Amino acid sequence: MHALTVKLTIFDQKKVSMFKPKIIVGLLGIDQHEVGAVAVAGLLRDAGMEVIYAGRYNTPESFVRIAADEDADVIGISCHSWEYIEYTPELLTLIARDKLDVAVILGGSVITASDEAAMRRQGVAGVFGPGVSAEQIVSEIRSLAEARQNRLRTALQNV
Amino acid sequence: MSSITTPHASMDLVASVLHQDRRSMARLISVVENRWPGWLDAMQALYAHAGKARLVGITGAAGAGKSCLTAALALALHARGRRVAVIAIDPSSPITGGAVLGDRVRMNKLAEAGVYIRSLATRGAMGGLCQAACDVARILDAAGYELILIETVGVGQDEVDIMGLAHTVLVLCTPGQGDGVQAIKAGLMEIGDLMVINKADLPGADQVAADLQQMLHTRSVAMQRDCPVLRTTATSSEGTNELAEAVLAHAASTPKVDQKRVRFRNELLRLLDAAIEDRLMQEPVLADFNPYTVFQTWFSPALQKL
Repeated sequence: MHALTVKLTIFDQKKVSMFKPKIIVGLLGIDQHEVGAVAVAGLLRDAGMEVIYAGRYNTPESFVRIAADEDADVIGISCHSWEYIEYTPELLTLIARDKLDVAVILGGSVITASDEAAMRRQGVAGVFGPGVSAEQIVSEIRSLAEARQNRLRTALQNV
Repeated sequence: MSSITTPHASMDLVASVLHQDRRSMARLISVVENRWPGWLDAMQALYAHAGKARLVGITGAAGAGKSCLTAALALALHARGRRVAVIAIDPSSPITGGAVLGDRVRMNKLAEAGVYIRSLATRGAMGGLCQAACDVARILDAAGYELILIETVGVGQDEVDIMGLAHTVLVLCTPGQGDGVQAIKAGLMEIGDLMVINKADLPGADQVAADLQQMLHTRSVAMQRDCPVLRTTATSSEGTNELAEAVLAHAASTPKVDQKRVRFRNELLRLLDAAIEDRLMQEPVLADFNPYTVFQTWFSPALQKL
């Protein structure tokens, strides 16, 4: 009975979402606080997304390399230390230099409102500070990924 | 050199891939994996340019150290001047359709060395191997990679699918998996070309090696081919040079006779299966759910013409 239920679920699930948002989740620099990133990775998986887990010790260069090689929709950085303030501008510069179509989002309880404003001014597409809901995270990421994949699909057809 | 301006149209991507443009390769993989417009034309065109690469499948139970070993092996091959790429496969959740692709996080040194790594989710495929893996391997092949390492999901006995795709199959186990090598089911023992005892620094490695040699002896006599048993400690790269040599030696040997036929058959069946399933999705109501009627209407005429 259980096997039958699972099989039917796969059948329906395929119909519902062939759209798979692809998001990198990782930490910058020597930020050690991985628990949040792992939790969010699981949350996003449960929302039907494909999470490329990049773990700790990433640099702007390594994020950009992963984004290019995996053709990711979004780079998600888990922030529980100072690194995001220091390195996000460089990350955005590298993305522009390489003309990568990828959105950057930051998430973490240490991000203040003024930090958020500064990050958004520089080009960060989403910031999830303390108090944001799981639904909000999922919905914003899904929008960003959908918009990007639509751009790519459209470009394929316009030839 | 990576081209900054990535072409969009699928056939332009194919042209760039044949010129070994990395960004185009990454984009074409997405187009094909997602079945975006032009994917089939692209794969048809690429087929003629593929067939040179050796595919190395790396299988074994979860926790055996496949990711670490794949990375260490790739580094050793890369150090020998070989063009090597990695495909890392993880399972999609059958309930939510999502996946955490967590293999490449163990491959940082490899990524830093500039080796191409692509993560794939199975997206509902049974048997731990998806058609996407075959498609991606073909794209990498056409892009000029000599050796393509495919790290499979790691579900054990269901992994015989890899045999239809890989030229060289590595089967991993570790000491202390209970009762010798019980973790390696009969299916895996038969498909392996190289048996690797990872975490060989742990106690019990000798016993595992002895058990494996005994189990492989009968097979060797029957198939007239030895299956080497190697020991590695992937985290310290111990034994990986010897493993790289063994992989290259196997790659230099003649490929399995019916490899091409088996691979073709499996891929064709998977393509058909996916196409039929897509078509079934679109059919809101199948009048009387009579599979014989549907088969007759959809396929009989076409099959008769073949």
